[in-house]
Amino acid sequence: MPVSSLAQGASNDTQRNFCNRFSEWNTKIDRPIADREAKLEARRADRLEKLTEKRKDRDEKIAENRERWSENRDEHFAKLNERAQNDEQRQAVADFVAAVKVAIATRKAAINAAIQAFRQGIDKAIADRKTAVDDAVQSFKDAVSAAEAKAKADCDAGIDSATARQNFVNSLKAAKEQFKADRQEIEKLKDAIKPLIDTRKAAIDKAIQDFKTAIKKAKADFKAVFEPGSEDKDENDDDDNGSS
Amino acid sequence: MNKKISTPLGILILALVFLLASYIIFYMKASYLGDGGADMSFQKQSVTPPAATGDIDGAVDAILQESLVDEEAFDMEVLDAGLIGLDSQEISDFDQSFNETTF
Repeated sequence: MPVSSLAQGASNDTQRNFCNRFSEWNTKIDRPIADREAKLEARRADRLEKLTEKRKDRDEKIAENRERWSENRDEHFAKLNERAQNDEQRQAVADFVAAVKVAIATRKAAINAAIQAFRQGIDKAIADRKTAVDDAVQSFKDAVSAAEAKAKADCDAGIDSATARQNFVNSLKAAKEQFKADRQEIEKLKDAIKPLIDTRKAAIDKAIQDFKTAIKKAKADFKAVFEPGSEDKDENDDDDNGSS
Repeated sequence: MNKKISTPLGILILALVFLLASYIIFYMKASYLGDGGADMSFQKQSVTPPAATGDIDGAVDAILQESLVDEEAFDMEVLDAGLIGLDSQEISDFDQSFNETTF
């Protein structure tokens, strides 16, 4: 018996009977592969469901939070308006309110765009992964089918059963190793999302910084009317605190 | 006698600590991936907006705090990246579809 066959742990009987046991392949190879494909599909559906649910949940909570803060903002605006004693001050409040609303609309648009772009990036990463996995699984199945066909052909051609078996085992092992290599490459695709996170995070940081700058200016303009001279002090305080 | 008791007791305590740590890690992971527990999203966003007083500094502080809502909304989105590899185990399982040495 060849050493390689011994290494596979197959008895002489097993090797001799190899060409008479094609019927086992369905339960030992083909069906388990089909079962795993079904499990993979189920997990994908599960992932899609989770993703959809989480996005919906977040969208609702963002809307709720924004509404809550909007109501609070209106209360602040109303209180500021109560302080206005003359037309100049009323105009200052109106200008402040208008400036804040523009700044908020700009910030929300930037954040919404960043979130949308990020979601598209996640969807693309998932789609790319699915394509790559499907290709790898198909290649794996093709390799297994080819191994089965070759084994049958070898047996039909009267090739020694042990040799046919050894070729078959080697082919299946190669199919597994190829799939493993493909799988490792597929896992690397996840890294493609990192630059997207950094890009979108930078866009959000900029949107918030622009927002803060706009609000700071609106505040200074307001104070120039209500508390003349104090706006310069505020600016210095903000610079000292690094809060701008 | 003491050694006969202390050695198994030590092993038992270590096993319990390990199980507890595993459970905590599993629960924290599962709570985000949706396999159990509540979604941890937006916990920080329950910050109550400050009451209006008519003071411009207070109003501006409130308006600036509001931007945290959007900032944190994106941070929650980023966690979705963890879902990309949710099928890793199922993909890996293809390697164990069959044992070629049994033929």
